[in-house]
Amino acid sequence: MTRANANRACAALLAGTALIAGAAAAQEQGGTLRVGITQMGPTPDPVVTTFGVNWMTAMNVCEGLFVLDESWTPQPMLVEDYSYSEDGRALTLTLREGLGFHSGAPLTAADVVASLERFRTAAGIGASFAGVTESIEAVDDLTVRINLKTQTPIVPGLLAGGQAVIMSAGSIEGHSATDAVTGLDCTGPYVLTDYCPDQGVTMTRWDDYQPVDAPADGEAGHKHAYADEILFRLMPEASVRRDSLITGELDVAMSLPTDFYEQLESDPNTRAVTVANNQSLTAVFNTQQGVMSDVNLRRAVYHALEMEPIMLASVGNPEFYTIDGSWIPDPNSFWYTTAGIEEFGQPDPALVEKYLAASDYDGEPIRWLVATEQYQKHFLTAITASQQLAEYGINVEIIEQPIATYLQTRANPEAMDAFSSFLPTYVDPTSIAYLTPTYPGFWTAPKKMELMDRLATTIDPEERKAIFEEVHALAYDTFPFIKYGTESNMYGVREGVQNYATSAVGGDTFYNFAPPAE
Amino acid sequence: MLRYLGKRFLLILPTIFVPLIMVFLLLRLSPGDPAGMMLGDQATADQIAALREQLGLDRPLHVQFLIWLKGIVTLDLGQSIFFREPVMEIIPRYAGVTILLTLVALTLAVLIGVAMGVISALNRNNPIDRGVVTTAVLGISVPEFWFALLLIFLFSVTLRWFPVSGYTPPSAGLIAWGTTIFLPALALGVRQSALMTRMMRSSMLDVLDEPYITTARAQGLPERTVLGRYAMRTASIPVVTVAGLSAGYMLGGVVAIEIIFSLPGLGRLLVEAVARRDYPVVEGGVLTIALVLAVLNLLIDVLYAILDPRIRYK
Repeated sequence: MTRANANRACAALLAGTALIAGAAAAQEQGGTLRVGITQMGPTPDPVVTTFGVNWMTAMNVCEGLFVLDESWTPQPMLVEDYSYSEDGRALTLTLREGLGFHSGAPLTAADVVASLERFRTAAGIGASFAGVTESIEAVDDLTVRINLKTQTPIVPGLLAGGQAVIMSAGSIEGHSATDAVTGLDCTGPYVLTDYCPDQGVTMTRWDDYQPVDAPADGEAGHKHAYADEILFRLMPEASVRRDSLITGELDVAMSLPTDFYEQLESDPNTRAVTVANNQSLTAVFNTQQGVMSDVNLRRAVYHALEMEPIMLASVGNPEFYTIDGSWIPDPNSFWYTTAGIEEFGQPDPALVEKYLAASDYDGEPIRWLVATEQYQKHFLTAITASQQLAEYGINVEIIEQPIATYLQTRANPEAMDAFSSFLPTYVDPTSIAYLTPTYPGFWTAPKKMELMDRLATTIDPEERKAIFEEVHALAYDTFPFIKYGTESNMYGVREGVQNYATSAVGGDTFYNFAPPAE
Repeated sequence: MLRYLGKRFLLILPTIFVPLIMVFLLLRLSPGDPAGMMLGDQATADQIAALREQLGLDRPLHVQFLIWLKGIVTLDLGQSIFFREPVMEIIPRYAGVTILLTLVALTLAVLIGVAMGVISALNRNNPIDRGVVTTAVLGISVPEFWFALLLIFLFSVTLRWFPVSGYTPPSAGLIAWGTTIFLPALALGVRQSALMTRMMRSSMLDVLDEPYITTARAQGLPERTVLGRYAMRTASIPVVTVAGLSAGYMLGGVVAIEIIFSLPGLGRLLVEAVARRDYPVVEGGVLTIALVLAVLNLLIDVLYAILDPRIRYK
């Protein structure tokens, strides 16, 4: 599509938006699903950014070699079959036969190699993938071999994320991992028709899509593609998303504050949908230098905190959070564990006194960063925690910064002692950002590094779980970061929307949502 | 007059160039950088440094300034770091929405303000006057974003007369465009209309006491002619000044309205660009706003001369 055509398409898209209020129609297949979203990236390309919110379009248009099922376990999507070599240092993938891209080109091993080579140079999970792979080669048209630096079971998990999508080699030719493509030539059930930055997205059902012959399960299995069209409408203001849902201008309103729960439930045309165990609300400490590098002060901070008031201040409604210490927030995950946790959430003044006495802390302020754009999750948790810590003479200086400044400041170990953050469920513990030594907080304790190396190279799942439990217990002994609790997400749907998701897995996918019948 | 206009046009250049240099320096000297915002919160320091080098952000400030200056002089505002397209193509897409919104809001503000001010002045100190003045005080005091949410609740959620949010361009039909622009324009214009009401009332009261109005009435001219041709024309001059200032205020304050009504305008683009540290887009946006304001002020100065025959520019 030329730029001029794209602009005209944006105008038509905008025109359509205002005129279709309340006019959706669908039963089995058909109709338009209109989704109010909170944010969108300047381009639909998921490879160029680690901000997960910008992967939303690609999640519905593109597919990876693997996807996640309800238990956060990688399942084949574009792959028919895969196997490791005897020495465990090569992973051979056989692609499903007869698949193609929206452009009409067939899916071949060359496309997979081109996409994965690009992904290897991307930030975030791409860098983890590069860390374990030596090379990627096309064995024949439908076979790809990934040569590994050492034996490791984590590759399917790394390839199940939203960034590891397979695009046709021609569409990404000449585009590095920081040079975004403006269209997505992918294999998913919807074709990207229009992408208007800061306005919205139109996706049209692709009739040649070939689903997996298995029941839908999270992102895995059959993709029904009920709606003829899926429209994303950017509505940053939460009350506008709610009002648009009530008036019938939207079928789905994403990420609503829990304050709206009663209103949505009391309206006969709308319903509040809770996605439980969505993410952990956290604080991360600078373990490398400064006041919080003192392990006894970190222990004192943890034992001084009562998590219930902190979560209540942030979330506002007790039905939307749990006081749970697992670093894997979703209990459906194989990796969920409470190893090392004793009586989570309750303060212990005696232990606070003990660890403060053992620390070198003499009342200096702890520089605690919060991002302005994350007021609810960052500021409210930090301010409540700081009030609790003040009772023990632990002083917190909250530094509120715009997100761009916050990201830069927290990367500088000299400029901060702690920052507020959050953490979703990861498919594999080796991908957890906080456990990466270069992630702000810089947790490089030798014991943890050794455990993480073992975790990356151990094959047996039960053995790996035991190793992760050791890491988990270590985190609950030395507190490089602390968790306040697990937060649910809430979104609203119009009466008549069917098959909507209530799981954090695939929360940004809409191919299995059926729009309301007329 | 032409010489005056020529001079004013020349003065526009420093008027827009000074804020541009300030924006260039402020953006680059403030913490936060585009590379970090582009790669996201899980990027490592090495990856961010590599992208900074690729984008030329690792060069010394004076080198960046000279490259930027060359671009400005040759009317090349550069390429957006995030959109990957020329700023000269992005800005018109967004500026069109904002300029139309501001014009409609200004028109509503002037129409409401002048009408209410005249009605109030003609009913000096009676209940109608007090009602108008009280409403005007309320209008000045109400925050725009709150008034916008109130309008949505009343006209969109309760009465269902207008869509809650979204924008339809005029090319899709004037009625469709009108339904998406009316509430945002009303929300944006209400405070300015209240200011204009008070200004028009006060100005009208002064003018009605002038001897030439008494003379006009003594000559037996119809009251409509006295008010419309003599009183309102003179009384409008301060309102024109306020309208010019209002346009500037609206262009600066349009962000909240664009966010609430999900309008793809320049204000929202600028806020997003500042948050992302998309330097070329911020500079292009500021240039556009400075240019529009400078031209608007010039137009208002010219309007003075049309409205008041005593004013002549040399």
